[in-house]
Amino acid sequence: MTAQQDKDDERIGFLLDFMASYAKPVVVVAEDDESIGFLLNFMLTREGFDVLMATDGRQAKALIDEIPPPSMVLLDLMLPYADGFEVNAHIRSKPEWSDVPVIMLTGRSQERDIVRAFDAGVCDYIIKPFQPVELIARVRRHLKVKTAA
Amino acid sequence: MEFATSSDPIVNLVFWTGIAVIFIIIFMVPYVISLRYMLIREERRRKLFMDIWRPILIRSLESIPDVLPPVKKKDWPVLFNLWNHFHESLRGSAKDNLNEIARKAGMLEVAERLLKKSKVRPRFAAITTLGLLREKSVWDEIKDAAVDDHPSVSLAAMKALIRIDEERAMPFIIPLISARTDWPPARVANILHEASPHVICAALADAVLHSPELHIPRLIRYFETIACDSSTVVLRQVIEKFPTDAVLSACLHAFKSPDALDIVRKNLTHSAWHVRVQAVRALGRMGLIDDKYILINMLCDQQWWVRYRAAQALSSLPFISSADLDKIRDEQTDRYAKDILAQVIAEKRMV
Repeated sequence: MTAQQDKDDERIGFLLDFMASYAKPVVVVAEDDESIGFLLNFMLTREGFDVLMATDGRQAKALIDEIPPPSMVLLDLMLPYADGFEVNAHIRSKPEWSDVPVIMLTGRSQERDIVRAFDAGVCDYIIKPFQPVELIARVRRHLKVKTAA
Repeated sequence: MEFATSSDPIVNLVFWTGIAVIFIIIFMVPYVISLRYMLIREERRRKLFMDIWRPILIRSLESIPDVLPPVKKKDWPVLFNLWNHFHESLRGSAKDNLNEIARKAGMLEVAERLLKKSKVRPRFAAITTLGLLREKSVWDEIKDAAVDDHPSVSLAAMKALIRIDEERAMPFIIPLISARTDWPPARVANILHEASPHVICAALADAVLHSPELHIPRLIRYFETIACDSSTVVLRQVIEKFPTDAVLSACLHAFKSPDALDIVRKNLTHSAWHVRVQAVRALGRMGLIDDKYILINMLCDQQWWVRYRAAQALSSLPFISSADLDKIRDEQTDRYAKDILAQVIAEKRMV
């Protein structure tokens, strides 16, 4: 076994323990902007969620491969390596992730991007600049809908 | 070492050039190392500062802390950039709290000082902050910055003026956006979106009708991006006043409402091919069922671009299905019409 494999196994073990050890809902946040990522992490943690962060599309896809389905995914559209659409397609390609609500948070406000996102199965599309309180309310709302379903 | 004292001038020149290069390397290596060291130190200092201030700014969205840590002189630009970034990423009441913490931290006084600096970066950061704070007391200074030669400074100043007082800013800004050809149109359009639609639409409509002909196409592009309600009426007036090919092309590009279909149809036979291109594109955006026959005829135009846009327009009509497109292609007797439609059908299927 190589050192890299050991490292990977350790990381997967940590993530699985992390996910199994809480009763709180988990939100996966893929955001490359460090400050916005920090803000989302702070707000969601304060709201009672456990947050798993990915700072680029490749990392987000790797995280999705490693963990069981979370309660929600908050996805930036313009991510390095793989954009939000690609990450969303990766999520939707996994049957066990099919009912995970995905919210897109992005600076792209063009109609075609919004239509493309909804066609791709995204449940909400929030344009930056955004209202933090409104974002949290939307997250809560989508979780409620998911739980009710 | 005998060659060092050689009387041969070429040998001497090579020798002393070699010595000079060795000295340059001896001085340059430590210089590069020290630059690298300074950069790493600077980055580390910046990160430490961000680690302190990022949580403060984020927590301030909830409640303003009573005491703030002091900011060293060289850390101010980092705080400005961080604060500006948060301010531009958020909406609503979060901004009021950010404004309050900025005033409490003394950012206003520092920004006023930085505004007088000649360096671009501090000026840019200060102008942006003052705009976000909607600080009216520095109106004249920011107005001066709006005519700065550096596009980043002048664009930041234009944005700040709109944020501070959009109605007061318009009479000053509109002539500037016509004249400043060094300002990237996409950035100008983004900045104009900061203004309320009724304010910017009225100002642009007035400018489009009263500016010199040379500036009209550029202004129409901005008029188009704002999507004003009155655009069709104003553009009709512009076409009457300046019936040139360039103005006509720009207006056809800007038409979005079916109210303009008569002008669009009329210009499908215009002698300038670039006008015909814009006319077929406009017909693709707002054409009715019967317009499909006009577009089918345009597939035989002598200009490749007109044929291509006509085929694209035809394929984008909401009442034309893929099967309809195949049928239209098969019915074409003109070789060029058939080819261009086949190309657009293939492109559409690739997407």
